[in-house]
Amino acid sequence: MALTLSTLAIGKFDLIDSIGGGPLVAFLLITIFIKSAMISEYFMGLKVVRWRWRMIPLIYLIIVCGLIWIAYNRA
Amino acid sequence: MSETNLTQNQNREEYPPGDLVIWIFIYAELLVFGVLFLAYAFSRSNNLELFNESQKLVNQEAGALNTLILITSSYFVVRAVAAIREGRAEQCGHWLLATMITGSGFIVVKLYEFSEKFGAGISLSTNTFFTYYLSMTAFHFMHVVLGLIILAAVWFKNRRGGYSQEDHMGVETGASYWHMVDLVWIILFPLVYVIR
Repeated sequence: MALTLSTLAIGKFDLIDSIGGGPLVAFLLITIFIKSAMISEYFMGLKVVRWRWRMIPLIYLIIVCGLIWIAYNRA
Repeated sequence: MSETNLTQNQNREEYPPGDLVIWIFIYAELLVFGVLFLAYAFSRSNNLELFNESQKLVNQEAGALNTLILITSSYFVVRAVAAIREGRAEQCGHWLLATMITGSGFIVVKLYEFSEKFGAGISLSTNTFFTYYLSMTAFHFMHVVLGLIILAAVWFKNRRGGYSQEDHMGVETGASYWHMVDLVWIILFPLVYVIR
């Protein structure tokens, strides 16, 4: 919840424009990873499942967030 | 592998909760959304000014509110699964109902957002940003609607005594799908509404 509100604050106060994109976008991508990993680990219950199932969403998140980061820096 | 790690691995469940087919479906859906996210991110890098200007027109409060709604509803469905695992079918029904009510809140906010955009004359053909914005959010919206239909079916079956402490795979299957819908929105909201 707190991470979502911090995401909104970054957007609402145009912090990316005023402070500079890089660190804040990195922060947003890290919050995406943390929140999504918590959903898959705890809510979906993958924390107690064998690694091969557990790793799929985590690897997915690393690849998606990593490529978004690359695309952002390419702009 | 150490003895402790070996024991931990042996204690792990072989498969994720719910029907195995839903997990194949979930991973396939994540792949589709992943391609859309990356297509958006790389298109943005080629049309930076257009995307940044158009993004000022999206309703960030509505996006954030919908994130909070989906996280809350995901928590409710976790409680529903926990209740049926303990054999408390009535409580499971209550939590499923709470999930559907909060999930319907997402629908209301999203419809408001869509009507706001269409009312302002914005459509799929307005520009590249809005093509992505409308198609990705509408595609996700359809998943939320499907999730609500699945949860309603689970709720009805539970009401008729169809689930018990021993047999509750349907509840876990519906819950897993609902979490996927939440997970996708958690990526979509910052990417499309905030990152600029």
